[in-house]
Amino acid sequence: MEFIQIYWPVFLAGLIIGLIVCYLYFRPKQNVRLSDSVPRRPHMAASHEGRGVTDEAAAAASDVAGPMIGAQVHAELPGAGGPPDDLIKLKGVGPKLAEILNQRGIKRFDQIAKLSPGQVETLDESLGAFRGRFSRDRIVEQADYLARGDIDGYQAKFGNL
Amino acid sequence: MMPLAIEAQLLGLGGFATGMVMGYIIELRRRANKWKKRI
Repeated sequence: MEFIQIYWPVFLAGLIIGLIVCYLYFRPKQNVRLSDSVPRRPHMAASHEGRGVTDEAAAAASDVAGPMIGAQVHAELPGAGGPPDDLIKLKGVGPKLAEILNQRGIKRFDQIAKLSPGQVETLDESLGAFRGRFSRDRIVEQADYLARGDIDGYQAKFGNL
Repeated sequence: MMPLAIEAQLLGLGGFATGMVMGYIIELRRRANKWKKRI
C-alpha cells in the first residue's frame, strides 16, 4: 500500500499517456467517400461539332481523314430524324432516364438501336445512378424491336408493352 | 533523474495499459451510440 502511495503519480502518468495514445489512434477522421458518378455541370456538357471555329476545323479535318482511316468520325449519334418516340415504353427506362437520354439527343428508338457497343458503354458510364441499366435491361435490344415496329417479337421476348 | 524501481515501472506500464483499455472501451461505446443513432 505504501508503494502505491509513493508511486501513484507514475500510474496516473501512464494512464493519461494511454488515454492520449488511444485518442490519437481512434480520433474521428474525416470520412470521404468518392462516388463513381461525377456530377455534370453546364460547362462540362458534351460538346457538339460546329459550336466554334476550332470545332469546325476539327470537323472539316475529320471529314477528310475519317474515310481515309476508315473511322466513323461523325457517328456521335445516329440521326434524330422523324418524330420523337416515347422512350418510357422501354422496360427499365423511367421518366428520369428518358429525360436524361433526351438531353443527350436520344429521342427515338432507332437511335438507341443503332448505338455501337462502344457508344453504349460511353453513354452508360455517363448515366450516374442509372449506370448498368443498358446492359441489365437489354435496352438496345428492346429499342431494336420497337424501332422495327416488331411489337409481337418484343412482347414475346420482353413481355407486354 | 532518479531511475525508477522496477515495481514503479511496472506500475506505470499498468497505468498505460489501463488507459489504453479505457480509451478503447470509450471508443466502442461512442461507436455503438453512433450506430444506434443511424438506425
